[in-house]
Amino acid sequence: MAAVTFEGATRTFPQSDRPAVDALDLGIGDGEFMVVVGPSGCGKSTSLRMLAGLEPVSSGRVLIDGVDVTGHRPRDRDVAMVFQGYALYPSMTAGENMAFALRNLGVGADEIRTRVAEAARILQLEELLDRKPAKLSGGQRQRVAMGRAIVRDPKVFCMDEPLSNLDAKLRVSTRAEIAALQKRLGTTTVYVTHDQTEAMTMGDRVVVLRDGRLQQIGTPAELYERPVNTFVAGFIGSPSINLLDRVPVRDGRAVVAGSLRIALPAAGAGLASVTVGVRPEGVDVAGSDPGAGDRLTARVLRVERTGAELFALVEPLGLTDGVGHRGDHLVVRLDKRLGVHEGMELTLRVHLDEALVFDPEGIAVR
Amino acid sequence: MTAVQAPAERSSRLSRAGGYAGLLLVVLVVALPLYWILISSLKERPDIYTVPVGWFPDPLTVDNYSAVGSGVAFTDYLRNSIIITASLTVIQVVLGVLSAYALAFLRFPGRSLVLLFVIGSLMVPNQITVISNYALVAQLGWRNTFTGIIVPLAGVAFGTFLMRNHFLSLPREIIEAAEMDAAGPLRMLWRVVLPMSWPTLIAFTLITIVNEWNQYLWPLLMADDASVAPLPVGLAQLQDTQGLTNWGPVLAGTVLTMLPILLIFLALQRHMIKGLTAGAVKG
Repeated sequence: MAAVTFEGATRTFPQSDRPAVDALDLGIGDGEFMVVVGPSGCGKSTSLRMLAGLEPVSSGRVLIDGVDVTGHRPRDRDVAMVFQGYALYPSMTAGENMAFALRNLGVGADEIRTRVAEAARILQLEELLDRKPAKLSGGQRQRVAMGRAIVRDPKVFCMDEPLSNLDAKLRVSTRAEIAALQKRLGTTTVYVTHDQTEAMTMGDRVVVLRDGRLQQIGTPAELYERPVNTFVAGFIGSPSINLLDRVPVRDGRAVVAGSLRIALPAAGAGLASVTVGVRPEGVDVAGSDPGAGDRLTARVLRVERTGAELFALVEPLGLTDGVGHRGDHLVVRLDKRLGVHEGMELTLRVHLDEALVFDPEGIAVR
Repeated sequence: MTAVQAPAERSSRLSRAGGYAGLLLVVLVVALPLYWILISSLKERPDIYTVPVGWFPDPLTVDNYSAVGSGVAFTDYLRNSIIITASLTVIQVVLGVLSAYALAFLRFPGRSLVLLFVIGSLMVPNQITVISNYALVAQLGWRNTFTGIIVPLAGVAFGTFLMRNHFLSLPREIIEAAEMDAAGPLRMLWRVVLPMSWPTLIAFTLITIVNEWNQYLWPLLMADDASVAPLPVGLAQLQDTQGLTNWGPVLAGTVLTMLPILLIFLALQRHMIKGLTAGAVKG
């Protein structure tokens, strides 16, 4: 077990003028489950590979347990990796796959047998140890890949989208299993994914990357409730946040519509216009009272039911001149018992305390 | 009910017939000379020259086969062929695999230059280097020795190139996984890379065996007698002594020369199956 530190770690690929990872500063605590998330090409896998030693570090340093491992070979870092495609050795049985690293490290045969048996027990692979990967299902291969990592009892687990090849249902159950396993083993884990749901449900903390740059580090709740910019706000949460651009500020309030005025935090003094973010669940259908500057009328364009939830795609009415919304519509989550239907005109109550305000550059105003 | 054929079905049947016709043609072109060698080696001497040709040996005789042994030192040539082919195959496969491994997986300065050099050497025809090689080998006093025949033929540009390209086609993740699992280069090669490479390696081995078994020009220049000359040289000698009037023993010798290669081919070809990486990556 160990803490991991990235100090200005940068990776520029040959024949590229822009770094894939740009001066990443990141501290991961001992035993922490850190999820690195971002859209494809944001540098999350490259960061992980720099930690694992599979990718050279162009400048900056990577430390494990306070030791600078920047120039070390992967085998000398005591890091285990679970690959997206599992990367099992096809000619070896599941058991041999798990034992391979221990054998290479010169661990005694008895010790190997004990540790493989223990890992197999934890992952419920006991029956499958003699099978070759070709005779295993996708979920079983995934577990063997996990087993190969845990038998080594390394300082750090690196996981590169280990669930992306599983079907949706298996992904949800394996997600919980991995998180539980990590808690139980207490091994520092860096987990890369493009799936914000995995990030929100698994991580102790989450790092959001974009174009090789760190956007925000925080607990899932922090990222959701206090995103530092519109990118993080839009990336975390599904369906994504509704963003209204070019909202004029009058008397310290962002005037989205005549009936919807959002008070700016003190830091927003002096801004002429802002971007306002409203989460789909930050809205209710209002009663008949006039409200307190928290009303927005909207027409329902479409209704999406997921069974448990109902999302209405709405077109806001009466917005202040010049205000635009990203995408064709706003998404609001409504009580499924309300009988909302297409074409209906609704008066919505916006929870003002949950609304987010960003400056014209997209940086959060707090 | 009447069966109605869709137009697509009819045309696919037609193209399949065309395919078989093409196959048949190719088989005839390849098989006919081989068949001719075989039946002529089993004919009596006058029957070989009769016109119109007889497609079946009648009467059947194996005299030509016993004549091979009395005409030249066939077993000596066979022994030499086995020694030369076996040594060259072992050397070339080992060197080819090791150099390909280095070129595919190890990072070292000048790697692409080395590769360029290897590919470049593929483009130089053997005949061009014969004279300088001869001068060098004669100077070393290696004429009429196995060393003199084997060493200059032991270069492996083709095998290096073939195996390197195959190694590069292996899933990168597995190589990285082995790196993370602390596998050293030899263990990585033996336990991870080669188990995924048998079909290509066997194809490479087979090509090498056939190639070296059929070596003619260089051994002919190097060898003076049956002490080191391989079968193709021996066959040529047999042809010199018998061929102009008596083709039977020459063709019988040819059949005997082909036979071991044919058996090796039949034994190895079923191992040249694909699918060794099944289950390695993805689900």
